[in-house]
Amino acid sequence: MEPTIEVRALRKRYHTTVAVDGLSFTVRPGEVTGFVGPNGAGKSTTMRLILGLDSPDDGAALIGGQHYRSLRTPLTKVGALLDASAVHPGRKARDHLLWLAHSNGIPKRRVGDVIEQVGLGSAARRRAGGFSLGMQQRLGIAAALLGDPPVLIFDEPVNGLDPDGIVWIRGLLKTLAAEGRAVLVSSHLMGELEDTADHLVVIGRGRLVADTSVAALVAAASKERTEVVTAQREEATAVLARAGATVAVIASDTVTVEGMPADRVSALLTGAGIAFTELRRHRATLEEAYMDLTRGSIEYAPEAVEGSAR
Amino acid sequence: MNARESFPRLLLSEWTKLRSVPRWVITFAGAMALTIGLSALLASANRTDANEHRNFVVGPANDPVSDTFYFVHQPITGDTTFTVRVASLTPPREPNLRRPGDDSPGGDSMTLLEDPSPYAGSAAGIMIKDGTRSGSSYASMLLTADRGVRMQSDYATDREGSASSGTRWLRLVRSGDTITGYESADGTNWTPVGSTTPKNLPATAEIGFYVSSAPALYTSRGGGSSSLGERPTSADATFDNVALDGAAQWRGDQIADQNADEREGKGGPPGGRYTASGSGFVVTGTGAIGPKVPDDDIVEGALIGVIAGLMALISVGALFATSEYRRGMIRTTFVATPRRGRVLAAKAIVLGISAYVVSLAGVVAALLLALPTMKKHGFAPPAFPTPSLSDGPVARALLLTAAFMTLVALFAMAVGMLARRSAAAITTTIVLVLLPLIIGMVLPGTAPRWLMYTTLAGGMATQRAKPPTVTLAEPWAMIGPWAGIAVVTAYTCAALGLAWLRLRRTDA
Amino acid sequence: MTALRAVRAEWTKLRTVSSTGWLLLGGIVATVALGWAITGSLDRRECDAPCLLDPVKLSLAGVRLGQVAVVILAVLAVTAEYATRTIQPTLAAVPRRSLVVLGKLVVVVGLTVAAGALGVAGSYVAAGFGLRGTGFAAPAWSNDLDLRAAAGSTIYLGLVAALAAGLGLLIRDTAGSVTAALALLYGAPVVASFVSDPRWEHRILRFSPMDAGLSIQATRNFAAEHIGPWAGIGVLSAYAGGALLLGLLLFALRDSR
Repeated sequence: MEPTIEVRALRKRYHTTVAVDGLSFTVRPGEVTGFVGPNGAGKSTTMRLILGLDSPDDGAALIGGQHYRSLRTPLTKVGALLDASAVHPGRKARDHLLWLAHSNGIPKRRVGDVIEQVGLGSAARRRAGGFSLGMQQRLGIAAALLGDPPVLIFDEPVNGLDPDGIVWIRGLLKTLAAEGRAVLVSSHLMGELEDTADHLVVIGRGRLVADTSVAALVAAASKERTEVVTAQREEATAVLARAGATVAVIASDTVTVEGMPADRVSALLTGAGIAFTELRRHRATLEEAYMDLTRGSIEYAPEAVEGSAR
Repeated sequence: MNARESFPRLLLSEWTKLRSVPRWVITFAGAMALTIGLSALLASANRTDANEHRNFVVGPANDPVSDTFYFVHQPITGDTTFTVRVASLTPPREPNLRRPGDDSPGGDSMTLLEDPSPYAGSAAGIMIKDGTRSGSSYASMLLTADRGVRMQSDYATDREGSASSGTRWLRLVRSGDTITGYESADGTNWTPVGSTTPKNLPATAEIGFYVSSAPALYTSRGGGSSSLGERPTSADATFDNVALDGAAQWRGDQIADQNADEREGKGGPPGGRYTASGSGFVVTGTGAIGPKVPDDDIVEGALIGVIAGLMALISVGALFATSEYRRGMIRTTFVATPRRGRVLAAKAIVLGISAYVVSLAGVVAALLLALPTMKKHGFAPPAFPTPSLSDGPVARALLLTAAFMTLVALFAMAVGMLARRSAAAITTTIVLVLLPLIIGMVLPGTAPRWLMYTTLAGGMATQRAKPPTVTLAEPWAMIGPWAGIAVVTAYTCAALGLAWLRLRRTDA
Repeated sequence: MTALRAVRAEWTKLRTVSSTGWLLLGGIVATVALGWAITGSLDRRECDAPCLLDPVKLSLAGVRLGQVAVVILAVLAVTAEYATRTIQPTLAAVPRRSLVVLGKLVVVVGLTVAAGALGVAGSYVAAGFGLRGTGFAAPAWSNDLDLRAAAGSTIYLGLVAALAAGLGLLIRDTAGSVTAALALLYGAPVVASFVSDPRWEHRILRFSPMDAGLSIQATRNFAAEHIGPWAGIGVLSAYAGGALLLGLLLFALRDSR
């Protein structure tokens, strides 16, 4: 089985709300695929449909070409963290993993292994009801890793983790992908995925907004911009505008310059004898690119953006 | 703007909580629908043949009565005074029944059941009566074996005289339509007991002395359930110093419902007798004079659905409390209102009012819907006068039944606050209401009554519009409605008190 | 193989929450205690001749109380998954709904039958003490009818567990399922005692799950029973089977939230 997730023309409606509306994308092995969209965009619903928890009204979600519900030992094919708080509060952490292991015939020692792997070794015999948000999250990740699956799905894994935890999970995601696994990670904040994801699937209102690599997305969305801090604001504005740049004043001593590379700005100002204390080259973050995209998803049909996909 | 914490605001907030969960609103509606629906559906499961096979005669007020005794009498016209000394009244010869608490081995195993009615037991007395037809109008002064001296008339009026037993002088004075009764220890100093106007006393009425002895009720146990029965008893009395103005010849008659006895194939009335001895008379009598209302109760029968509605209310009550503890909502509540006692009070008031409105609407509609069907199935006059919502006992039954349902819902809420788990709260409440009824039906004697006094099941007594009775096997018919509601109130108050203590003492 | 794994997972789930043990223990204690209390209150001399009292049936009366623990256990085995949302990992681990239900059923009914057998045996032992000096004979294991009453009560408890689990699948909410199960079991006899038409009383008791199912406890005076012993077990089985089938159907069709 090739470790992939294929989502094909998936559609799901709850009562009157269309949660997922004709969504298609593929998650490939060996890379971390970021799954991004604002709250309520349909990320969790898509994941529930992939895992066969809910039934799609139309379309299909396949794991290595198979429906999830047809898998015999699904935990060894797909590991998923959907809702970390979905544990019985009266059950010990170790026992939660133990019943999962039994259900798929996974050897008992894996339970100890994954507990150590996620750093819950000292809390393994405590009841899950007393766990902090971060500990619950680690337990959920342990459950996903239990069957050593080639496909992994994480819904907002960073939620509730402390800074150490965030660093840890980013490393974990990269390691898992480097081992050749297909990893799908959702987030409503692009910034969380900026350094982790290799590929991005952006959705808004249940529809695909972008399916692209991180670099391509940044390149497509970013315009180069330079910030200049100078005491001679008006002179600088005049010089740069005359050379064809778009200049905007953002503070009494700061202007931003668009439509001109930073080194040309520097040369022009120096040539005109205008002193500046700072010149910052500003590259658009993934976050800004994403904001642009999702804002667009509300106003335009997604096909218009899909042109930028690879 | 005044953002001060105020109790009405708190009530409003709890009301918002209650009405904003669609499932609870549906359950409330379901409670009403179940109460009405099951009652209407099972109204046809009630049937009685009390009117076809009568074991009663119809009294002057058209009510079913019992009127059987031995009467030594003569006609008298107009105003008169009649005086007699009851020299002795022997206690009834009980037909081989075991007294409660008697553990002696052998003999018959049936246990006597005490009937507290003033019309029960044995009596020797004097009476003025509209002829000798069973069920006719009368007024009497009587000395009972263990209920003192009494004055009774028309099977409905009962006045208590002195508590004496043994020898007693009795007197009846007729003046127009009014009969006044007197008693005396020595025949000289007379004490009035009361006056009464029997409904149909003709100018020429029968006057005389009599002996009655009501059948003894007994319970016996067998086959895992208890059964009830009655056996006839008889008593003897000696009358002397008989003084009647214009007295003529005395005549003895057994007063009885001839038809009933013929129907039952007994071949005539049971025998009483009298013999003249010196200046007095010895009279032996059997039978009872008094109301004989069938124990089956229309209102109770029409409210079968209360059980089902109650289940729904119990689950809403429990959830209204336990849902606070799911997902930690209770913290939000207590951050908003740190005075926890007030939160509990507001919850109880909001749930209580909502449950009461729903229950009352349910039971009133259930009764009105079930009545026509029940009437078709034999619950008709004269054995069963048609109840009206404005009858005191009917209104009481409806109001108290709704109160019972409400209090049980509040109890479930309080247990929910204590246990914090809906399964525990619901189970505890349902078991306390229903299991005593089921167990009570197989327990003998007074044990079921005791169960009714000690568990929430006692609240079922509120559904009866008729007085408590010892002659029905249903445990809840054994205690009065006020006793029933008192038991439930005590349980609910105790549970709410404990919930309040727990809220104050423990972390949210 | 996968079925075995599903059973094993459910067994692990059930044994790793403390409520399971307490419920089973409480159920056994309640069963034995109520039977002992009732048999101890009997007296041969208070029973009319011909005495039709059935001391064996009364010594098993505790089953009517003990079944409450069974109802809660079976309902919680299903509904706790929804309350704690572990239904997600459960279905992610075992996507075939029928296997999940099978696993739960085997474990819950198996545990109930084991605990029920203990409770029934304990009731007979307790009745031996309770009936001492009352003039009634204690239940005897050598008697076929007494044995049938004991085995039937155990089967009854297993079927009650199946019924409660089925209701849990249908309703998915702890409060609702417990209420429905207890109302079904306890409501019918109370309603039957309310109605005054004996034909209706007979009808209701004949088809009420508790009274029909427990008619197998009778060892004498069979005329007082409203349905035959095995027919009664059949009625209860029909309730349990119906609830389970409908529950399974909805479980397979509905989204798992």
